[in-house]
This record gives sequence, structure tokens and C-alpha cells, in this order.
Amino acid sequence: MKRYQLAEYHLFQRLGKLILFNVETMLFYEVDPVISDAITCFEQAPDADIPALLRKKYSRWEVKNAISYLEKEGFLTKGDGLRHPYRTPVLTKRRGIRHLELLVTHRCNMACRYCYGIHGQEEWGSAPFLYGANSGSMSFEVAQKGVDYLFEKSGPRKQVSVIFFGGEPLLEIGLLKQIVPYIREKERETGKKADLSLSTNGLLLTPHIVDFLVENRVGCQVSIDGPAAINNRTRLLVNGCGSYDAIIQGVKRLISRRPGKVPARVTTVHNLVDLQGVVDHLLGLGFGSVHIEPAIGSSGDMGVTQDDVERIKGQNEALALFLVESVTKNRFFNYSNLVKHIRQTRVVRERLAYYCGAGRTYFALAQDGGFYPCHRFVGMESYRMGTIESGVDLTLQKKILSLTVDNRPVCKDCWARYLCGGGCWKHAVDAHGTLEGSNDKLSCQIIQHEIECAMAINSELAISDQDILSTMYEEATEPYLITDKGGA
Amino acid sequence: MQQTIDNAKRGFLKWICRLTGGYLFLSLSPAPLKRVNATLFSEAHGQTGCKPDWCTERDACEGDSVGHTCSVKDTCNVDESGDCETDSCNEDRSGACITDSCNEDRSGSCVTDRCVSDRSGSCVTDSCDVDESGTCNSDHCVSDSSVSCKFDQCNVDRSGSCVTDSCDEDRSGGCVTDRCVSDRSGICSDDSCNEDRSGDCVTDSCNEDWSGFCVNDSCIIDKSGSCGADLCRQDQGPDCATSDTCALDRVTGMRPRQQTLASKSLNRAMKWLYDLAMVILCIFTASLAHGQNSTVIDATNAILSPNPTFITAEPVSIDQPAGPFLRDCDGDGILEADTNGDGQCAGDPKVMDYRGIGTRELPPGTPFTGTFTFTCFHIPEDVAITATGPLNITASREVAIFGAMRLSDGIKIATPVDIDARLSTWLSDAGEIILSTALKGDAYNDLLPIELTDEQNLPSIQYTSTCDTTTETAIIRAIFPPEVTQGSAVTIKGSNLGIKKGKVALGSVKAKVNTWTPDTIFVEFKKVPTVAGPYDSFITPSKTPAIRTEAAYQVKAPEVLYVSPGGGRAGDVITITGKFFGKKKGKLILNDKKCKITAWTMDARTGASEVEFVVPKKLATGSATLTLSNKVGSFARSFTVYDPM
Repeated sequence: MKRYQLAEYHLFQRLGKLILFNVETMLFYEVDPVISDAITCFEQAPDADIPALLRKKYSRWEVKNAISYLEKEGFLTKGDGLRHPYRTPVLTKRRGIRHLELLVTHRCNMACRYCYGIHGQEEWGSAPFLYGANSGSMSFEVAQKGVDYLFEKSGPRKQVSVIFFGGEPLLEIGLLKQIVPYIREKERETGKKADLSLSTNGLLLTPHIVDFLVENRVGCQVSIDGPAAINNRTRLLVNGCGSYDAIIQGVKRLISRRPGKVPARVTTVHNLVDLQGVVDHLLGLGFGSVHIEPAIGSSGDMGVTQDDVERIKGQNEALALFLVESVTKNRFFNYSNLVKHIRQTRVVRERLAYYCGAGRTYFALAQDGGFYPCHRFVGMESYRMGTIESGVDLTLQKKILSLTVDNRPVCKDCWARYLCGGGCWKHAVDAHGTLEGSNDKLSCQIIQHEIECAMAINSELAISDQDILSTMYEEATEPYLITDKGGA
Repeated sequence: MQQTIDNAKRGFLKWICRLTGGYLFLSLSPAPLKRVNATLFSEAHGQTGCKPDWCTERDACEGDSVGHTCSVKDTCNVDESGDCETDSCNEDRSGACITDSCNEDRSGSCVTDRCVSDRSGSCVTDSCDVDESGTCNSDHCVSDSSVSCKFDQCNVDRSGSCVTDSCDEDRSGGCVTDRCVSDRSGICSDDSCNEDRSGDCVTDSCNEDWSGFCVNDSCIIDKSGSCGADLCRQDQGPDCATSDTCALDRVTGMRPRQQTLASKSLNRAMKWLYDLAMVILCIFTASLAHGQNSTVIDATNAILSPNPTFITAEPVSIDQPAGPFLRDCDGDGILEADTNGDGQCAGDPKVMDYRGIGTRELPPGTPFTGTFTFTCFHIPEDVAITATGPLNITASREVAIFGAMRLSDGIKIATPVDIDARLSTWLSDAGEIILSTALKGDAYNDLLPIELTDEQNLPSIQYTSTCDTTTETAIIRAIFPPEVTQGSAVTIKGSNLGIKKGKVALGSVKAKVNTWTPDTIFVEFKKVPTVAGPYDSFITPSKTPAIRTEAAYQVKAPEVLYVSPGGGRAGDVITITGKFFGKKKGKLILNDKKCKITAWTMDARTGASEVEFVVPKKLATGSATLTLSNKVGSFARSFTVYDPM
């Protein structure tokens, strides 16, 4: 028997499909059990006579046929020489800033139970809360300097983006009304285009503010956790009452001005997992897409547990089945947790080296003019990356650049690393106290499961029109938190 | 020797046959492996040397639409000139769109222009929406009538210096002590704001408090749930989170036993918290029949402010009445209001729950003021009518007001019949409330205490208007989802179903009715027939015959979609996913052994179901049959039992 070397692979069964994924080539296959048994035998007994080992189940011809397919598709390589598997290169060349988050305020007019502005900010010093009614706001001067810095340091890029964050950014509508025209002015001066967006709790979506957002092309994502029964358990007004009734009129107002284009951002928490109910309800309201993130890390006792994750997986599979059924009946809905992976795995354009652009091409600017990798690090002094006066400090950026998925513990051995990028930096810091740590274990499980479901969905729909998904799932929502992925 | 040759020949033939058979087998068999996706990796497809435009270092390039090899960083949306170099125009008709950033270039010399519209041809550095003067330098005007609209942010600036004016809107944020109608700056803390969206309006007398900070305000509408001191009429939400007109507020526990509304001078609807007060109202008139005294106005549980004036035995002249004030003109189940009193339906606004607050209203901003004559002036319990000016109403046949009248400048209602105002709420900013009837009888001038009881004991109004045309045919429009099982939740849409809860049945099995409105019914099937198949729907509104819809429902037996994992050993936990398992736990049998079920769930709307069970002990290794069953049916699936560890 010839000697073979085995490529890194992942074999799994999901939605009734047996899928084999080649980690390095990023191609995946729907396979028969003979392939699955053959590759498993190779892993366990690489020197054995595989056809002989499997003779009770398959004929010799079947096994040899399977081996020849595995060889053709790059799972098996002949020879005794060492393989040189792909490793993500570490880039050192700075590509300039592309996305800037302006933390326009730390004030907030709600008191969501899982807000990381309350939990986990030990470095914030004497202030008890990062976000709250008494926290500060950004001045126009700082915002203006931040915008100038973005346009200046974006290099040859023609497209940049500014994200207004908080607290609740609409509390600073006065500042927004000053800075947005200034950004448009900079567009005209420089010839660059700026995408503007913000995330809101929906409480201040009055007719005038919605008019302002729509007329000035500011994309708007709404944080809402589902129907009232769920939303009101976690997203509370400052007096402790649920917020659903208070926000729903504004939300409907915004959606009516931008039908099918408003994304919903949902946080699912411990013991309140009902993905189907949430997706059903929010898409029924008219949201263009729904993205659900589990509360992880600095969310106190609201963080999801292993039991919750099992429930999430089960519900995601049910949603996956429903999605397949809908697509085959020419009806579709954008549950982005699955849809983004469906797109990503259907035609793979790049291997992700990082989960997001935080600290590389994406920065958050705090009220005091300090740069941070993103809003979740604001207030943590050890992650401050310079100021608008001095510019972005390279030290931390170099560390971030070096931490590609192939260089992070746990990530480097994960089959999904080039599709995931390694997970949120803040999750790693919360779980391990350092950027060098891996993503939170529960978050990893969910991401891996989502990717498996996406591959199974692609496999299920591969037998029909190949273009169905790419035409159906065009990006219909406003760009939000566009992150640079891959080696850029 | 011959034997050896024969043996060799036989062996060779056997080998040939095996080889041929093998290849035949392989060529006829389907491939055991089928690729699903594709990549654009240069390595995967053998491409090298991709130029860095719009690419990462490893990806394949995306070409531009003209066919260039993407060697220049093109970013044009449209390039009619063909070279797309550094252009950033949306459209370039001139062919010379170099460094331009115009939306439209009519002059052909779109150099550094920033005009949205340039009629003067000299739109240099302008940023106006409309430039009629031709000198719109650095203006931010929406409309510039004065030619000196520098830095103004007024809606209309006629003076040219709208910095410290008492603005209708102050966008500059400097309107700290101004009497703002709307405060968007968030610093209107001392202002008498009508709206406070910033959340700082703690001591302001707000009409609406979106932020939840308006705790001590005398809100008419409390969206935050902190309506402790507000003038509420009835709390329909369990946590006062909806903008009800509460008489009780369960959040604060305020249950005034006796109330008297503030005097007219206090009734500005902006004041907060009145203590225990006495609402005084009682007027009796003679009954219609045989000279007996009858109640003209029964204001039990009513809230009236200001105190109305009641006049009896006054002659009431009836002009040509215009029909009922509220009626369903177009038969869609929604009332229209004859706010211009012409008796015609054209243009009449619909009375609906526009704000999702459980109260039907006129569309916000609808003008309703003046003198009208109607046959019936009936305001149902869940309707609130807002007047924009003084109202003078004569009703020829009926005055029955159970809902709310929000008046800006008083109302006079005159009628020759009884006025039934049980459970009414009348709030008038100014003007008087004058109710007069031509019926003879004694008018009480003494003030009687009115008790507001616990909300649960409020009598429901069983009333049919003499002008009511809405009690006609009840119609069922839709029932969904059609596929149901035990525990399913179903929505029924229709019209003219009435407000009183009726009955719903699936075949002969009754459903639990959770909510019943004139157009929507929510039911739950605690039980279903035990045989799967189509069943009729029977919907019986109050006091009307049942409405039958044939084969409206399909009762479904359980369907197992997949079992994960597909095999296990004793003690393993297995998950079954499928549909229509029912909400009540059913049975799970593996061969002949009952399985311990650790979880059994079903989504009531979609039927999506999930069950978790533990593989029992003492099962024979190998293929087994897993059967899931409930009262409607069962579903069998194969399962592999492995040897115990």
C-alpha cells in the first residue's frame, strides 16, 4: 500500500448530510459513507491496508475508488516527504485606517441588564458605570479631529466608514447634526466616500430624528431582543420597566422609511433562548435582517451557559431547515447568523486571518481623544492605542497583526479558523485576560455549529440552481460595522 | 505441463474478468464524493501574479466592467469616458470627470462643485439645497429668503438673525431657557417642554415621556410605566407600560376610592398628581316612560374635568341630522368618523389604534371642531376622540359616550333623549362641558361622591347603538397556520366578529380562546381530534350563528425530520427534531423498550419540535426501530444501537 499523508479535514453530519471539509483548500463535499470510513481509517491507521480493513462493509473496488477521489481532491498526498500546510502570513505593512467608531456619548437612557458598560470594566477607575445617565459626551472638536484623522490616514482608500456609538448615540443628535455635514464636506474635499451608521436602542426614533437619518443616509441598526415577552426581560428602561412598548413606534417608523433595510441586533441570554420566535417576530416587524449574539464574557449572570448553547444549536438547526424549505419555495429571510456563513462558504474569496479589523483598520475614538481597538475596550488603559494628537500607536497594533488565527492557541488547531478568523478580541481578554488567549469556548461552539449548518444548507441547495443564494441574499441592509477581514 | 498451462490460462482469464468487472463497476457507480462550493483562491486554481487592485495578496482580481485588468484603482460607478481613472462621479456626461464630486454637472465644468442643484451656473463651494440667489456661500439654509442666511438653522429665517429667537424649533441647543415646543438638545431641563426626548426632563411637565425619566410629571400618556401620579383612566397593561388613560396604576398601586377632579383652573392636563378628590356628578332626569324619573347621566366610574354643567328641560332644536358620528362606511370592520358632519363617507378618517396602545383614535392631527348634528353620537369604550377646537353637538336619537373625549376648548352636547356617559373620561384644556337634554325631570344640584372601584370590578358595557350597522355579517378571512396539533396556537382574522369573546372549535373539539377582537381571534388547541386529517372550523361570535369553514385545519401526526446522532449506546442522550410532536409529552419506544424523555418541546406557531431522550439499557445491538407517538399518531425511524462500552 502506498504511503499517504492526510490533509487537515473536518468530517461531520448535519441536517442529514455527511460533509467533508478540506481546511486548507476551503472546499467541502457531500460524501458517501465509504469516503467517511476511508478517511477515518487513514487517520487512525495511516500505514494499514485500508481496503482490507473495510472489506466487511465495502468491496475493494469501492474503497480504491474512494481513495482515488480523496487523492484527486487533495485530502491524500502520496509520498513520504513532509507536507507544508498553508499558514497565514503575518502582515507588517500598515494599511491605514478605514473604519472609525466615534463614541459620541457614554450616556444612555436605558438600563439593559447585560450591558458590558456595567460589567467588566474594572479599569474604569472610580466611575461605577461606563454607560449611564451621568456619563459624558464627545465634543464637536474631538469628533472633527477624529474625522480629519480618518480621512487623512485612510491612504489610497476611496471608501471609509464612520460609526456613531454610545451609550445611546441619538442622545447626541445635536453633535450628529454638526458632524454629519462636516463628514460630507470632507467627502467633497477628498473625493472619498464615507458610509455612516449607528446602533440605537430605538427609544429616540422620533419623526424628526428618523427624517434626519434617512435624509443624511445614516445607516441605523436597532438593538432589540425579540417580542415583548423576551425583550422586556433584558432591555429595561431606567425605571426597571420593559422597553418594548416605548420603542416599537419609533422602530416601525424607521422601518417604514427604509423597508427591508434595517438590521436588528439581538442579544440572547441565559435561559431565554428562543431563536425561532425572535427571528419570526422581528422579520415580521419588517426588519431586513436579524443577527443574534449570545451574551458572553462580561455580561454577569446573563451570560449563556453550556445548556443554553445546546439549545441554541438545536434551534439553529431548526431554523436552517426552515430556511432551506423557504428558499426552495422562493421565500427567503435574512437570519444573518446563518446567511453570512452560507455566502461565505458557497464561494470562498479569502481565508480569514482575523475575526475583525479592530486595532488594524478599525479604531474607536473615545471622548478624551484616545484610540482603542473598538468600543468594548474604551476605558481599559492597557489597550489604549494613542490619541488623535499623537496618532495610532504601533505597539499594540503590531501585537494584533501578529495574532493571526494560525498563531493563536486553540484557534490554530480549529478546523473552522479560516472561516471564523479567531473570534472577538474582547472575548479573549474576558476569558483569559490577554489578547493572546483564544475566543470564549461557548462562542466557538456556536460559530462552528453555524458554519456546519451553512455548509449543510449549501449542500442541500447545491442540487438546484447554483445562483439562488447569491441572488437572493444580496446585501440589502445598510452597512454596519463593516470590518476588514483576511490579510488586508 | 498441459495442466500448468491450463491453470495459467484460467488464472489469467479470471484476472481479466476481475479487472474488467472492477472498471465496469467503477464507471457505472456514482461518485462517492460531490464538491459543493468553489473558491477564488489563486492557489486553488493555479493562478499567480495577481495585481494588488481591490485584492488581497492571495485572491483573484476582480476586473472592471470595461475589461481592464484592474491595474488602476477604479472606483467609478459609471465611466462613460472609458478610462475610469480616479473618477468619483456618479455620472460623467462631460467625459472630463477628473476629481469631480458632483451629483450632476450641467455646466460641463464640474470642477470642485458641490451643488445638489446649480441653476446659476456658478455653484462654487455651495452647499445649498436650493440656491435662488446665486450667492449661497457656506449657507446651511433650508430656505434662504433674506440672502443673509449665514449659519442659521431655522426652518424659516425671515430676520436673518435667528440665533436667540424664540424658535419653534431650536436645533442649536442654545434654547436653554426658551419656551421650546420641542427640546432636542437634551438641556431643556427648566423649560416647559411639551416633549422631552432627552430624558433630562425630570421636572418638566411633559405630555409624553419617552425616556422613562418623567416620573413626577403629570403625563397624560405614560409610555414608561412610571405613571404614578398621572391622570390615568384605566390601566390595560399589566405593568402600565402602554400609554393607557389609567384610572388605576398597578405599578404604583394608586387606587383612589373617591376622587374629585381639579377645578377648571387646574385642569390644564399638565399638572401632576391630584390627591384624593371627589368627582362629583349626578344628574337625574325624568324617565321617558310614564313620567318616571330616570337617570340622565350615570357617571359611575367616570372622570370629568372640568365639572360639567347639566341642563334639563331645555328646548333642543334638531337641524337635519347627518347620521351617526361613527360608522363603518366601507364594510371593512373599521369605523369611520364623520368629522365634517356632512353625512357622507368620502374622506372620513378611520378610527383605529394607530399607536398600538389599545385605544382607537382619529388619525393624529385630524381637525374636529364646530357645530354638528348627528343621529347618534356613540363613542365606544375603547375609543378616544380628540377635538381640536370647541364642539357643539346636537344628537337627535342617541348620546352614548363610554370612551374618552379629549377637548381643547369645551363641548356642548344637546339631545332630546338620555345621555349615557358611563365610564366616560372627559378632559378639557379650556372651555366648559355642557350637557343638556330636553327631557323633563328633576336636576340634582347636590354633589354626590363617585366611587372608582378596582379595575377588575368595572362593569363591562353591554350596549348596542341604535345606529350600529356593524353587527352585520361576521366574516372569517383567514385562519393560520392551517397545520395544527395538540398545543398549536392559531390566529383567525375576520371582520364584524364583535368584541365579546365567542367560541372556536376544531371539528367537535373546543379551542381555548385567548383573545377576541372584532377582527382578530387568538386561540390555542389544548386538545385536537385523535385522527390526523382535515377538519372544519366553527367560529361562533356572541349572539350569532356559527361560521363554518370547511377543511380549515389539517391535524398533523408527528413527523420526525432527523435523529442526532443516528445511533448510540445505553445512557447516551439523543435529540430528535421534527414537527407536530405536540406540547404534551408523548411516548418514545425503542424496539419494545420505553425511553426516558428528558425534554419535549414544540413551538406553538410553527410546530417545530424537539425531543431529547436517553437510550435505555438491555437493547440488542444493531438496527432498532424508534417510534415517537402522541395522541394523534406516531412516526417510526431506524436507530442503531451500539455495544455498551
